[in-house]
Amino acid sequence: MFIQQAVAGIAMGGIYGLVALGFTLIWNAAAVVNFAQGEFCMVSGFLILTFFVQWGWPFPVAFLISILLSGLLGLIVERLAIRPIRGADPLTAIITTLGVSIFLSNSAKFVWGTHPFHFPSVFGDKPMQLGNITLIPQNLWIIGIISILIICLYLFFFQTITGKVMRAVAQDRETASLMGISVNRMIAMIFGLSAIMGGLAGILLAPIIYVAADIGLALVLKAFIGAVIGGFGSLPGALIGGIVIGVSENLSAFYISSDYKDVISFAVLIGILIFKPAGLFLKK
Amino acid sequence: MKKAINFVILLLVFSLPLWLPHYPLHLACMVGIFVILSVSLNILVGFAGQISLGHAAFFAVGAYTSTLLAVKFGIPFWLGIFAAGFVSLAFGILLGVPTLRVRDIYLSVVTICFGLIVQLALVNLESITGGARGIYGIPRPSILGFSFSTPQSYYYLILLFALFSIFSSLRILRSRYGRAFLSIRENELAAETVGIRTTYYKILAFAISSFYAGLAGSLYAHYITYINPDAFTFGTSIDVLVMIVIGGLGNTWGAVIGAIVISLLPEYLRFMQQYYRAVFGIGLIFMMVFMRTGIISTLEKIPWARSSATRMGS
Repeated sequence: MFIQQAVAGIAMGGIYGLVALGFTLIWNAAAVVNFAQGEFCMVSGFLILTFFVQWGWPFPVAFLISILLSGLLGLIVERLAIRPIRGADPLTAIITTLGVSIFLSNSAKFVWGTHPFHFPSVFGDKPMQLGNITLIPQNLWIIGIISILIICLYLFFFQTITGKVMRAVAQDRETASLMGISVNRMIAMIFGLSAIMGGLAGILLAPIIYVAADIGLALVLKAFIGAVIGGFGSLPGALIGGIVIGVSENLSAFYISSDYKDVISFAVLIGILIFKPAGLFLKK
Repeated sequence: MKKAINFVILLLVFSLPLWLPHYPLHLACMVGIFVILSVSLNILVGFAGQISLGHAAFFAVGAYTSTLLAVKFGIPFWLGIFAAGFVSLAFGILLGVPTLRVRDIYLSVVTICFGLIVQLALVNLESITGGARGIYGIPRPSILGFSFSTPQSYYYLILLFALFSIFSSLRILRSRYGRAFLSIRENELAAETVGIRTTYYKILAFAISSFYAGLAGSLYAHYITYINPDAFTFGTSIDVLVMIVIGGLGNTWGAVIGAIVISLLPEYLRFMQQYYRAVFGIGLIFMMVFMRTGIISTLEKIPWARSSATRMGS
């Protein structure tokens, strides 16, 4: 039972980790904390619901289109809301991204309604027996997909020119600009990439919970807590922190009380900020 | 000219119950409660520079404290409201102490989490708070046989506390406390270097701010006579923060204007129905892109609207 819960926690945590990764990429590149990051998940969840469930498109097509549209949304958000306020004080950035979040989640409410939608399990949710461990295939699929994505991201950031340029922008915008890099274009691309990752997280999340207009904020908070646990600003830290949050949340919901699982995550955050503000893994 | 306008505004504020119909007067009462909330949050965010997105939690603590005292123990409102203020103040210190080491983004997320924890507690501690259903039948306050049962009389009660919070906020700004707050906002390290006890003042800012929010909560509970956790959501916290930013951060009159605008906006934009909240989101982005310094600094460009108070604040 413990292993089953832990695997479910890793799957959920991987999703948090994806959101946290996107959010950290944006933070590193643009120095803006994007409270609207969870809305990319919400929107792509609804998109795939429409394409796959309601219109009956084949899953891979619906999947790709949803993710690409989510990326496009990221580009639009960056151009209209984030670029004009870049470099402003934190409070301005917070209110702007909250504004984006409020706009997107409420727009989704009048496009798709306020009720949560059930999403069919594409990867299978029938438990399967492995020795004396019971596993749910979709959790394994989620973990697999996220692992592949992480490898791709790693190759992208370390092996391609565009990836290296993005890292340069994240490290130092001014120097990057002096090297002839178009910082605005790179930040826009990073936003697009983050939104694609958020979109993927939203699609993976859909069969686990449901598709609803108000899931964005909770996701962002969990992702933020994960990012803080892993050391804010660190990409591997964001992923690992997300997984830590996912596992601890699942285990505490199972062994303590599901009413208070959020309270426990929030208390973890406050505890870490008091005792280890640089994160659990970062040596400082 | 300026004096005449101030006089007219004052006259208007005091005479509202005499000529306003029932529903607009109810709105005026709600505006008054939100004025207290935004003025109190402005002390924390605008003066001391500590971002908080959990102000609704203190509002809730105040409302539930005074409600429970009145409903379960029959304690009169006049004691209950100050108990609400002080319990809320205790919660403010409870949040202020662990957040001493964090700033800006971290602080905003910790305060969001604090707000959500309080909200979850209100829903789940059913035996005390009545859970999601809330608590009914909260008595209206009365004094010497006179009951504040009509909106007209209650309006004056709210007005009293709103004026009290506005003038104490102006007073705080001009005192050594206010100057200490501003110095922490501008540069914490420099403030510490010149001998300001930043730890003490940051906790003090949390304490003062949550005290007034607690008063507002108590006023709200005894006015609506029914409370449940829905009134104290993250959305409420956002609204209050938006009030002070839209009005003009760090400016008491800005907070007042922001509270009036943001609380009345849904009424004037009622034709938008379910689209309102989405439009509100767009409006926030617009304000941040084009009018970042708030309404009050736009008003300041009009000569007669400029007052010593607005200059003090900015």
